Amino acid sequence: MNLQDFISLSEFLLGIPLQPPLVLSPITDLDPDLANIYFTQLNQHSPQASYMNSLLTNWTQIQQQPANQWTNLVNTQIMNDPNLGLLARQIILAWYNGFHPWFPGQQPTPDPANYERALVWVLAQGHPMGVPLSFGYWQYPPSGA
Amino acid sequence: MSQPLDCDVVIVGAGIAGSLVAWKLGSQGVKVIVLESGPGNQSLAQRQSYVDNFKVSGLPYPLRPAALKNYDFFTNSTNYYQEQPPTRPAQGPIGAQINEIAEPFSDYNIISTDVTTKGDWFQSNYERQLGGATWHWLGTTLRLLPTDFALESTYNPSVPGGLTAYDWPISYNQIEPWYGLAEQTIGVSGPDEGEEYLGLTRSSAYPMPGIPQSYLDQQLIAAIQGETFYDGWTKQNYPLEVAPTPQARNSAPGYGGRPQCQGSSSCIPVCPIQAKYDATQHIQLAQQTGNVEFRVQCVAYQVVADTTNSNLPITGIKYKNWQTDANGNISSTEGIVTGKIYVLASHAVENSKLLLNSPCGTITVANQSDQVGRNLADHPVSLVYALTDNPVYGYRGPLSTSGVESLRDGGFRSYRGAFRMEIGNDAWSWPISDPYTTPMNLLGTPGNGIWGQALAEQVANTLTRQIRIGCLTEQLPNPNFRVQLSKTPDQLGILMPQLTYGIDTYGRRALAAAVAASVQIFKSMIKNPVVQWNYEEFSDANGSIVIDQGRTTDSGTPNIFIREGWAGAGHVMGTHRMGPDTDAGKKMSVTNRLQQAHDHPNLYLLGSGNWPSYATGNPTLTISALALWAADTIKNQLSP
Repeated sequence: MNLQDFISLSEFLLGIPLQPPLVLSPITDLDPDLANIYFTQLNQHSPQASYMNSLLTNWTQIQQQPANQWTNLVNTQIMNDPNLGLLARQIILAWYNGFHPWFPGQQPTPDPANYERALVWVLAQGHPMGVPLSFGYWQYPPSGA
Repeated sequence: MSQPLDCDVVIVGAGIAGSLVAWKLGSQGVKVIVLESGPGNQSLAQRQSYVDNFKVSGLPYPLRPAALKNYDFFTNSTNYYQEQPPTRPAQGPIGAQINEIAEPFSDYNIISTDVTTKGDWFQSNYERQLGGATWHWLGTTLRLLPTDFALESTYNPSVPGGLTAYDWPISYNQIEPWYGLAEQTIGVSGPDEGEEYLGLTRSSAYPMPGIPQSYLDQQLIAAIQGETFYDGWTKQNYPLEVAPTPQARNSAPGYGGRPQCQGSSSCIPVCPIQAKYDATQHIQLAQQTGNVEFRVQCVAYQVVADTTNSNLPITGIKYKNWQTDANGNISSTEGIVTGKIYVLASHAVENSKLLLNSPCGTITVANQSDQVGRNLADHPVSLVYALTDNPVYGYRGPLSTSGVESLRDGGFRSYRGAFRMEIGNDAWSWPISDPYTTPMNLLGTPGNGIWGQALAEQVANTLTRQIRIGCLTEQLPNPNFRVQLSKTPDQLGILMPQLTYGIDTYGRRALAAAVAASVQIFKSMIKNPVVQWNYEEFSDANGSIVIDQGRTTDSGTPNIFIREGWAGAGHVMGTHRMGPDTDAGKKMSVTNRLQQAHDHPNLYLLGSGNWPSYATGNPTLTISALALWAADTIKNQLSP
């Protein structure tokens, strides 16, 4: 199993690149270190971990098709599949939420630093709650908004 | 020859009340010993671990292994932010079916299973460590209003069910200078203007300028310009005005040695930089006086009264000093501490439990009135949340910078409780644990849901327009809502408190009105409002929908939501209330206007257990003002 495949699949599932005004600064790719953390955790803790290989193989095959078919193929072969679809959603949520309390019975063990890089804060145009910024910024809308 | 006393003043509890008194007395040369049931984690290093834990799990404390039950954590950690059990008891109208749940919602308490209505689960909790719940509080420091101290004589509330209100034995004018001192002592940032509502007067200025209102507040204010709130009981309109909130967080660097607020947005559960006041500040100042000793991990379990003396002086407090070994096994040693004066400051539930566990002749300490533990109350909170038309950008700034204070008083208090509207800057984190839940919901399950760019757009569109209002509502005292001793001992063999609670008609009517006002505000921020009304949770005792609800039938996708039932505010009140020093007063109250127990000459009870009526203001500033007042009284009692 290949981290690079995990990254490229993550990017596709997340809709990367994301551009303003959706986000304040463009997101054009994903951090490979963070990807490695999520990849490792999912392989260790996801109830669907045994499907990771199949998921990434599927994705590799989809990428050999014309790009304008990828969305449909990902939909039918991955997102609608009872197991691959769950795993793909967990991947998306890992990037969105930074930690994963949704794994039934699992204890999250990510670094608190992951929390700060969760995509939800970027999409909210806020900041990770718990991280100090500066006095008074909250009187104004987010810069660029 | 009798033993020398251990100190001048024994204090049980190192929360804000106990810590302020310890510091004030210690700085005047009084020898003080403070018993704190929990551990003493007061350093900034511990703060960082709370912050890290919060980032990992949403809770400031390390996740518990799933195998241990709730009450196993009674003595050696805190459960203040306990995860809800998966089948949280739903709340709703009288007579509805109670859901079966695996375990009662319990931390230090056992919830009475003798519940006959949904919504009888006490939703608030407290803290056991040096500094108490001030580690986690929001920091709102409102004064109570003049009429809050005279609810009965001003409004004579009259509702089905026969409950009555009580006046405080003190007036606003009498506590006013102590409010000013409390604001100076803990360091409050407050607005120069906008606080003239409802008779509030001030003899001193706030020590720091007000915290700026958020962009979100400004959008709300603009949307409701000129609106009033119609009250169905009095059939009158009342002002719907937003005021900046005074709060114990620094608008200026340096006050109290604290930095300026940097808008971390995690006031609850922990300020990562201590811009928000917490009582560890006065614990450190108390220790610096050289006259105050804090004994941590010491659970007081009995107050000893000398029944051979007709004055019934208190002569000691017994406690258990606990330790845990590397395997988490708990052991303890017995101790007793003695002083001239004794102060119980372990908050409303634990103060009651301690007293109920302390025999005194044929009754228990301080309980001639049989009111100890009774009249348990909270501010039941209504939660209404919405998606505004234009972004308001929550998840930013202190968790609340404004509120509607203009509905906290009025003629309607003859018929229903008042309410205070807290405007949240925290989007939907309280109602639905966002921002994590919305992406999860939108993703759906294989065969449905959205992903990719569409998900990002929908998530962004949702998160930036989320807003919530939580209303603190006022209920009447009910002697049947109470703290008693359960039959279940904790790991130290001390019987755990058992809570019986509910919301009376006066309180339910307040909730209905609060929901109506919240919905009205949000409708002003939305061109095509569609309200999702849950089941009829705010019926009165007769099952009728109460007048203020203003329910409409809307079709379309909802954009205004009402979380079912009510939430706890974390404001535990009423369990050893104050009353006049008259014969009649002593029959209905535990303490007098100086927070001295009626029954014992050297026993003080502090904290919001003293509240005879509950008002709508967050209690901490009043707790602090009264604590400083008590310190003064105690000093005079020691050396008149």
